[in-house]
Amino acid sequence: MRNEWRSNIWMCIELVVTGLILWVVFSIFAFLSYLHKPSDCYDFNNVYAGDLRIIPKTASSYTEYPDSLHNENTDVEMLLTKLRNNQYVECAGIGLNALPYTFNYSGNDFSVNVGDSVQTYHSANVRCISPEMVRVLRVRGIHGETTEEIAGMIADNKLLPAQPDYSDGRLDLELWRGRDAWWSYDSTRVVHVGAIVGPLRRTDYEPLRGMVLVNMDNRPGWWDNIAIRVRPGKGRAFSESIKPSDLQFGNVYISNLESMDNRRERAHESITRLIGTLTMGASFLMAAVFLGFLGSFWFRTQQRVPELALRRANGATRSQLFRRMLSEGIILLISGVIVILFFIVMFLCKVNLSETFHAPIPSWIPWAGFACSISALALMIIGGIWMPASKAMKINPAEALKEE
Amino acid sequence: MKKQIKQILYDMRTQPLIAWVTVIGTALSIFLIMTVVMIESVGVMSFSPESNRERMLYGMYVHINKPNGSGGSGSMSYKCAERLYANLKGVEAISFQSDGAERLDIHGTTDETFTASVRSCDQGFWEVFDHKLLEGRLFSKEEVEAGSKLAVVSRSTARRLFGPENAIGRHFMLDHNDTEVIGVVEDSSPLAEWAYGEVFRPIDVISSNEWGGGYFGNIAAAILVEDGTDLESVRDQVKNRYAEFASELKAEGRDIIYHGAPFTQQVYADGIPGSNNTPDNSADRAINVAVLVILLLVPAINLSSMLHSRLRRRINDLGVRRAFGCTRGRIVRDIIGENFIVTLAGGLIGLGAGVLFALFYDGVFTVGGESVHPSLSMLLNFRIIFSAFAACFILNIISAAIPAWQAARMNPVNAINAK
Amino acid sequence: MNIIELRGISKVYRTKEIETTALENVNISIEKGEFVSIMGPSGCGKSTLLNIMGLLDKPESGEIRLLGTDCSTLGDNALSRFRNEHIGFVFQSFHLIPSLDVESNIEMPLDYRAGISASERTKRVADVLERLDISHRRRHKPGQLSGGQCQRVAIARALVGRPSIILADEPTGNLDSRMGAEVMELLHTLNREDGITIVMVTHNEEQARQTDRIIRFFDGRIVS
Repeated sequence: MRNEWRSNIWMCIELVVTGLILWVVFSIFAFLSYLHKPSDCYDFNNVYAGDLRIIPKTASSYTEYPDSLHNENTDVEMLLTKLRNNQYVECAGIGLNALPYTFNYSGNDFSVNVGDSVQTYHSANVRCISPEMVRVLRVRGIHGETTEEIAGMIADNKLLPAQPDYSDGRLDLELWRGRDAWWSYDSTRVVHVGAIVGPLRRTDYEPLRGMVLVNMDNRPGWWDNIAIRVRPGKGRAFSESIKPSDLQFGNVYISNLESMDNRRERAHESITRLIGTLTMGASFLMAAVFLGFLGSFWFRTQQRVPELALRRANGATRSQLFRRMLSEGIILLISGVIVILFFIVMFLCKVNLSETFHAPIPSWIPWAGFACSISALALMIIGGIWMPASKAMKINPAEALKEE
Repeated sequence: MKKQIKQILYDMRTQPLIAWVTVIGTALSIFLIMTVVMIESVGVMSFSPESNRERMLYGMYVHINKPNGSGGSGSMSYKCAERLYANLKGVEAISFQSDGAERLDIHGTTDETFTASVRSCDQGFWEVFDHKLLEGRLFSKEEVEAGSKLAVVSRSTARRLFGPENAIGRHFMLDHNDTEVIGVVEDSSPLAEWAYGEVFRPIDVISSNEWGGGYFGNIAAAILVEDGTDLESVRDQVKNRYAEFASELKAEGRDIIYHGAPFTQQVYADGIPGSNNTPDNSADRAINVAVLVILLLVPAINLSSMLHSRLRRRINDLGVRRAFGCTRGRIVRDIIGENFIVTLAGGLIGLGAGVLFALFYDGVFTVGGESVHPSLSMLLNFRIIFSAFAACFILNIISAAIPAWQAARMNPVNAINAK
Repeated sequence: MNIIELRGISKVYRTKEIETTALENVNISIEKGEFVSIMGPSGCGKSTLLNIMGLLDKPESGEIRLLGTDCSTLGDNALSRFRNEHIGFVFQSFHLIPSLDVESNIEMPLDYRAGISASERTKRVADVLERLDISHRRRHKPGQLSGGQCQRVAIARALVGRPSIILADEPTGNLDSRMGAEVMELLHTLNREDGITIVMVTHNEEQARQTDRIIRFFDGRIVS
C-alpha cells in the first residue's frame, strides 16, 4: 500500500467526499422515515374526495332559487342524498378544510382556563367537519372514542383538538378535556372541549403544528370539501359508473373527484421527487466508488502478479491472497471513516439540527445516517475489489514466475 | 488524432476493464450533470409560446401590512395590478392574466366531461406570448371588458370537445357557463408556465374576485420588455410605483412591502418563496454549484486513477517519445487530448442517456405536481450541447492534468527502463 | 572534427540509503563518422554514459558538446529539439510502441519535428522502409514481427529524422547470432554510406572489434 500511496490518498479523498454526502442523504432518509406518520385515528381507504363548488350567479347554467327555503345548502343535501343512493357508496359527507393532503392553513388560537393558568393552543388549523364526514373518514379519539361518539361530539358542537407533534411543553390537552375553550381570545365565543383526536396532517411527512375539529358553520356555501366512502372493492366500479350528472344538484357540483390515494400522491410529489433525486445522487456516488475501486485494484493486481505469484510459491493460500486484497480496501475505508467521523462530529457540535429545521430531530438520526453511509461504502468497496481479488486468487505461480 | 484514436482502441483491447470503467464513469457523470443542466435550462430558455423569456418580467403578489403586524399577502386584484404595472415605459406588451391556470370542468358535444387547464387573460396575452393561431381569431380588448363568454382552445382540447368537427363558433360549457369557441391555437407545453393553457378565456376585470379591501385577487402580470431596453429600468419604475402606493396606503394606516417584483425569468425559475417573502436564491444557487462540483470531482478522481494506470503501462512508450524529441509540454497535450476523446465518447453516451431520461422518465420535470415531458427540440439546443461539451472538457482537464504532468516529468531514462 | 565531446563528466546516483558513483571524471572525444564501441562489465556505467551522451540524463558535473554546441546549458525543450534533430536511439529491447503499426512507429520522431510537410514525412518513411527492406511489413504491429524485424524498425525509426549521431544500447542483446549479424551489417552500412556517427554499447567482443574504436570502462572510469 505504501507503493501506491498517491493513488490511495486520492481514493481516501473520494471516500471522504462520498461518505459525507451519503451521510447527509441517508440522514435525510432516516429523518423522513421518522417523520412519516400517516394520520392515525382515520381511515382513508376506499375514500374519494372532491371540491364542492357553486355555479356562479353570472353563469348561464345558474338556476335561480324559487324561494328562501332553497339555497346552496339544500342543494348539497340533495346531492349527498343522491350519492348515498348510489349502490357503491357507503356514506358521504362535507367539510371546510376537512381533508388531509391540502395545503390550506387557516389557523386560530384557542385558550382554556385549566385552573391555575390559561393555556393557549396557538395557530391551530381549524377543520370544519360534519358528523357525516366523521363517519366517512372514520375519525376516532386517541383514548378509544368510537367514530359514532366523535360524530356525536361534533353534532353537539364540541371542539376536538389534536396533540401537535412538537410543542414547548406548555400545552397539556389532557387538562382541556371537558373544559370550555374560547376562540381568538374572545371570551364570548365559547366552545366545549370533547375528546382528543389524532392529527390530520397536511402531508404524511409534515409535523403537525396544531389542529382542531369543529362542526360546520350552517351558513349557505360555508363548505368546500366532499368525501365519499365507497364500499370495499367497489372503487373502480364506482369511478367507472359515475357520470357528470351524478356529481351535480341544482347550483352545486363536485369538481376534481379523485381517490384519496391520488391526493396523497400529489401532496407528496415534492417529497417523492426529493427522495428520487437523492437516491439518484447516492447511487451515482456509490457507482463511482465501485468503479473506482474496481479499476484501481484491477490494475494493481496486474502490476503485482509477480509478487502474488511469489507469495503463492512461498505457501500463501488462495483465500489468504483474496483476504489480503480485501483488507487493503478495508484499510482505506477505515482511514476514510476516521476523517468522515471527524467532520461529522465537528458539524454536529456547531449546528443544532432541531433549531435549523424548526422541529425536534432525534439525536440518533445523524448516527443512523452515518452507519448507513459506511455500510454502503463498505459494500461498494468489497464489491469493487471482489473481481480483482478473485483474479489474484487464481494466479498460477509457475506461469506467472516463468513470464517474469 | 488518428494515432491517438489508435492508441485508445489499443487500450480498449488490451485493458478493456479499465477502458470501460473510464467510459462508464464519464457517462454517468455527464448524465447526471446534464440532467441538472437540462432542468435548469428548461426553466429559463426560450421556446414557443414563451419565445422571449430573456425579455420577460413577471409581476406577482402584493403584501400589505397593518401597523400591528397583521395583514395579508397574495395575488393582486385587477385594479392593484393595473396600478403597479400598466403603462410602463420601455414595455412592448403586457398581459394581465390569472395567477396560474385553473383546473375547471368543461363539456362539449362529445360525451366527455373533463377538467382542463383554463387560463384567464386579457388581449395583451396574445401580444406577450407567441401562440400559433390555427383557426378563427383571438379575443379583443372590448370583448375582455365586456366579460364576453368566449374562449380560445388548444387543438387537442377542441378535438376532445367536438371530435373531428370544426370548433369555431361552437359552444361548450366552461365552468358551467355557455361559452363560444372563437379560435383554436396549437398545443403548448405545460413547461411554458405562464403561457400554457388548454382553454383561454377573457379575464374577469370586474371586482368579483377581489378581497382584502380590493387589493387582492387572482391576477398576475406578464411583461414583455422592448428589445434593447434594460430590464432594470422597468423594475425601477415599478419600485417607484410601490413607493407611491406606500404613501397612499399610509393614510389608511397600512404599508405595502416591496419584495423585488417584477421578477426576471431566472428569478422565477429559481422559485418565488410565497407571496410574503423576497426571493433570495443564493443558497439554492450555491447548492447547485456544489452539486455540479461534486458531480465533476468525484468521477474525476476515479478517471484520474484510471488514466494513471493506463499511463503506467505506457511508461516505456513515453520514455521513448521523450528520447526522440517529444517535449514535456507535448506529452501533456497529447495525454490530455487523448483523454479528451475518451471523455467525449463517454460524454456523448451520458448526454444521450440524459436526453432519453428527460424525455421519458416521469418526475424529472413537474409543473403543479404533474409530471411533464419536454420536447426534443427543447433539449437539443445550443446551451445544453455547449454545457455537455464544457462538462467533458472540464472533467478531462481535472482528471488528466495531474497524471499527464507526472508522466511528463518522468526522467526519460527511468521511463525507458521501467518494467 | 569532434562531433561528440565529453569533458570531466561525473554522475552519482543517490537514494536515501546509498550513493553510487556511476561515472567519474570521464573525458571522451568522438570524431564525425566514427563507429565507436563502449565495453565493460555490468554496472560499470556504460549505459549511463550513453544516456548522458544522448542528452537523456544530466551529469553531476562536466561539459557536453555535441556538433559544436554546448548542451550543458540547454533547457529541457531545447534538449528535446536537439535530440529530435541530431540523435537517433536504438535500444536493446527495441521499445517499439505496440499500439502503432510499423509505419507509424517509424514516423514517430517526425511528429515532434516542425517544418516538415505531410508529403515529406510520407516520403521519408517510405524511403527508410525501402532501404531497410521492411516495406512489406508496414501495416503490421510490433507484436507480429520477429526480433530482427523489430530491431530493423527501431533502426528505421532512429534513421528517419536523418540524425548525425546514432546511439545504440546493446542493439543485438536480444537477438540470435544471425539476426545480430544482420543488424550489425546494417549499422556499418549506415556508418559507411551516410557518414552517421555511431556509438554502440555492447558485450560482444567480436562485434566491438569490427568497429573503429573500443572504449573500455570499469567502475565508472575509462580504462582504455
